[in-house]
Amino acid sequence: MKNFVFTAAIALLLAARGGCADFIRQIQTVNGATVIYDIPIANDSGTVNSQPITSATATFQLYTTVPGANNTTKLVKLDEKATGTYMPTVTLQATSEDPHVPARTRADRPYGMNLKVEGMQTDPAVPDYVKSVRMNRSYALYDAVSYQPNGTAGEYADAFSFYQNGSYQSAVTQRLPVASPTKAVGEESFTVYTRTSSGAIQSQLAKATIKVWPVATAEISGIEQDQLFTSAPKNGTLMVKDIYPGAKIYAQIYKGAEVLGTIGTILPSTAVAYSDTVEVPQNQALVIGDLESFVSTDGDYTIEMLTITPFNNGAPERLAHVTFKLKRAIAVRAMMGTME
Amino acid sequence: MKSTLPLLTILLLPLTASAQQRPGGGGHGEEFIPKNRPAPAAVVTTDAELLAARKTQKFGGLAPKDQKQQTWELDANSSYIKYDGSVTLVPKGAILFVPDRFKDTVVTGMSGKFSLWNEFSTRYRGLVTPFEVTVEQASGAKPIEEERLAVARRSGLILIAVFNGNPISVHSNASGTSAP
Repeated sequence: MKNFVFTAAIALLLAARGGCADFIRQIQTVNGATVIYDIPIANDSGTVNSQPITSATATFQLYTTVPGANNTTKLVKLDEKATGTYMPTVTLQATSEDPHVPARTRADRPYGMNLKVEGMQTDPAVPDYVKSVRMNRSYALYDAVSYQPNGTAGEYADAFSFYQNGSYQSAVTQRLPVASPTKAVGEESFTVYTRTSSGAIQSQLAKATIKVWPVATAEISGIEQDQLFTSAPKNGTLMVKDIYPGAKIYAQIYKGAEVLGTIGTILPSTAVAYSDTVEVPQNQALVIGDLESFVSTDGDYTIEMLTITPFNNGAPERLAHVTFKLKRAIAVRAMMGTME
Repeated sequence: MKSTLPLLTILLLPLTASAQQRPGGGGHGEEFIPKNRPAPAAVVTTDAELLAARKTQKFGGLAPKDQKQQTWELDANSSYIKYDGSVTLVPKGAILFVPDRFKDTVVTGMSGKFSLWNEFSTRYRGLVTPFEVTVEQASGAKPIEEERLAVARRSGLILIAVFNGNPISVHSNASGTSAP
């Protein structure tokens, strides 16, 4: 018999979670029977010792309460870890072009999932059920306005089994089940499970989650494509939706028809940078304003709305554009007469 | 292009082009956009483009509901006791005895204001009482002493198996009861 003491890496997650009723559930097989034991957590931070584990494996789950409707509370599982003598060590990490922690990406960008498996047993004396791990993929959808979980969640059919130690990398495109894939809002998770007994129930060894934020879109109003102006436009506006957290947005103007790759003059009233502390997408209404000082001569002009994000190596991406024609009218005040 | 935004929206627009610092490093104004920025290199992806890219990757679709991974679900492995609007949970199998008068307090799911066992048992001493067991008894390897259990039952309270004061499941071999 082995004795372990679980010193609660998961309990450290409790830091600054005052006012919640948290507990750790310890699940293990003792003398062939499943024994479940609940350990309340009194403090907001620190370590919690489990009861001695008198079996080869044990599963720990960390739960907390969140407010529900009508003065009720709901229990939410924050984390789960399986531990034991023969358990492999599994490291799972979601990676993105955006270095933000926790991991996040944009709906149109692939993300990485890196899995490292160490200590997988091959000894014939070791039970078969700990000689493989299984990785599943799941999702949860968020509300498109509040950007918070909306309660819709599920699993994908894809599942992968690993029987050997090694490092495994994969590039993944989000598959959130929504009507418009570029406007997907939610999260995807990969979870590695193992069995801690010969039964069918799986325990979690590792989990990695990545948030998926929608692709920004912009709408230019007050200036129509190919519209002819006899004086510089003054009433243009912009509405930018789903601006990626921490992104920069701006509109630029340049003479001529639309050509992607042109660097124009920034319209100052449209330039906004979001701080790194912004965690969810933003919506922004902007005034283009009086363009007189940006259109010195008559001709065609293009306005482009751009965003700078961690994607595309930080190069600006175009969200919307419009080209208008400027032909200033000349007012002539004249009088014709005859003299005799 | 769409027509002009509603008047109210326009009234709420930022009215000045001068720099306005935002908390945490952001801001409003040209100076917050990098001067040495590269040229715009791409147009944001459309749904059609993303769907086309997805077609090149193997994907098995959504899992049928009945093929959900079997895991240690909280509800399936817990019993709930609800009283006076408060609810607590204990591992399934931890309830050793429920007197008839309190049968209705053992419920199947979470509803009400949740309290941890230690708080709930302190507040409702007239409803529940802890009953210490050993790990051997919890696993069913050793039976709970029948005489001790009988004495505890006479309290007329719901008996909850605990180990070092915290609730623990007890195999039916040891308790002689089936878990509520």
